[in-house]
Amino acid sequence: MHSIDIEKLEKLAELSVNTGLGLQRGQNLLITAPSDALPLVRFIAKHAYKAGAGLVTPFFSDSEITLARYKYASDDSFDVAADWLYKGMGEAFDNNTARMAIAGDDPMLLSDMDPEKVGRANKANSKAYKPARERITQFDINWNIIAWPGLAWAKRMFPDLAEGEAQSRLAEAIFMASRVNTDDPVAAWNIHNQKLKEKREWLNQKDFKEIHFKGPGTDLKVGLADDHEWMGGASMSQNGIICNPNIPSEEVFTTPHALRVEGHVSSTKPLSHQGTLIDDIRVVFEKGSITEANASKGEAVLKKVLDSDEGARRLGEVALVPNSSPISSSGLLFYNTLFDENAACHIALGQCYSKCFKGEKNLSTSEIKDRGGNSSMIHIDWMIGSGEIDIDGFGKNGETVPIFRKGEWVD
Amino acid sequence: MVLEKMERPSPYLGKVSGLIKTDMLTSKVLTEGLKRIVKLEGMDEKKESFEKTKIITKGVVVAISSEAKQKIIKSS
Repeated sequence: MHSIDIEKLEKLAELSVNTGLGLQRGQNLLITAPSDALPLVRFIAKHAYKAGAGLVTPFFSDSEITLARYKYASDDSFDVAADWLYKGMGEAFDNNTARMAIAGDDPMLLSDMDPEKVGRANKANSKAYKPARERITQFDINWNIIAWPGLAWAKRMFPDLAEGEAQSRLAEAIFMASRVNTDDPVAAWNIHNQKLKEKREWLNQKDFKEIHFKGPGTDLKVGLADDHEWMGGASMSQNGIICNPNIPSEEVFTTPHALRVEGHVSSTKPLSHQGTLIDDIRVVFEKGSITEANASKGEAVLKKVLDSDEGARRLGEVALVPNSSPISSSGLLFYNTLFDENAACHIALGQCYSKCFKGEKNLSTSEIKDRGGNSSMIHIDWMIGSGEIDIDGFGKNGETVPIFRKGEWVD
Repeated sequence: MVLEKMERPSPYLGKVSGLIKTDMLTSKVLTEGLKRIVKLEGMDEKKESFEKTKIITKGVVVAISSEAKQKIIKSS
């Protein structure tokens, strides 16, 4: 603990309660966190109660206990999930309990464990948690994710530093990216959210049919899905509470048309995928699908990803992030999508977000497909933005409007 | 936007479990995955008739019998 700035940690907790969740007086709060994040969870509980929370209930996972299961549990253990717990979580969400998740556990914890057991345990968990999970993905309630600088994660980012120093560096990077380094983080987020809102509303009003990325190694026309809606920053959940689901968040994003992407694109930052780094990705799109794919590093893994299923070669998300974002300025690779996707403009292969459509928010799979939304088992973001990227929007009446110049929003 | 690990939807996971309720899309996805694995690994007659589970992609693990493998090879 001595290596983390306690004052900033408390500011992060306060920010997550007030800006992240928008926690309301009398509202209950459910928190899941890695066990070593206890200091952060205590601060969150303190500020939740100060904000008028009814009851704060934390649930902890512990890496040693998880590993003990894989090492010593009987084979039957891996088809079992805590159904009773997930049922209770679902009931809590039905009763308007807010949800806070603390990210930051060891990203490689299960990499040496039997993949068959990992698969079975995930399957059992996924099945048991499904009803509760849907309440989150459909935004029934206000929810938020923030990060704790876990030691294993810190050592992955800074392998040459001693443990304490690595954790301190990661903590500072999280505080910087989350805008906790400012005197008044809540005010800083209000300004930030207002800027994202302006961009989002402007893009929605323009209703471009296509956007065009142009830069070194990139000349890509991305058709947008019919009835697409740009999202980003604060959003209102279905219980009427405005929350920021992700802290940090720098992106404005929407759903591309799965069949209308043409041209070539190069990655500008390495992609960390399940422990493998894929670097210098270069792909060619024809009629929405990747027809050629190369990478200087991790090409075999990239090709395996593309072969995951039919939708894995098509786009499910396009997101605009200015090159001046705090995460981009840090020059760090976090090995965590919560951070890395906010470093640059990015596209994602695979599943689209069902929420990025105008009107009805619970579209069926066929309704999403009819609008051009992609379907896949994967959703993998990779960065294509830089200080040299220009983006234009093509309107339905043939007009061309500049959106980004040299990696920054055109005001 | 990022979802917490436990909240990332796995569209076909529930359906794959037990293979009780598969729809056309799920079947197609699984068949394509199996075909690729078989093409990559080929057949080994010396192995037991029922092999260990295979990972098609993240979160999707299936068991394939040698008989099923042979059928896939013939059909592809």
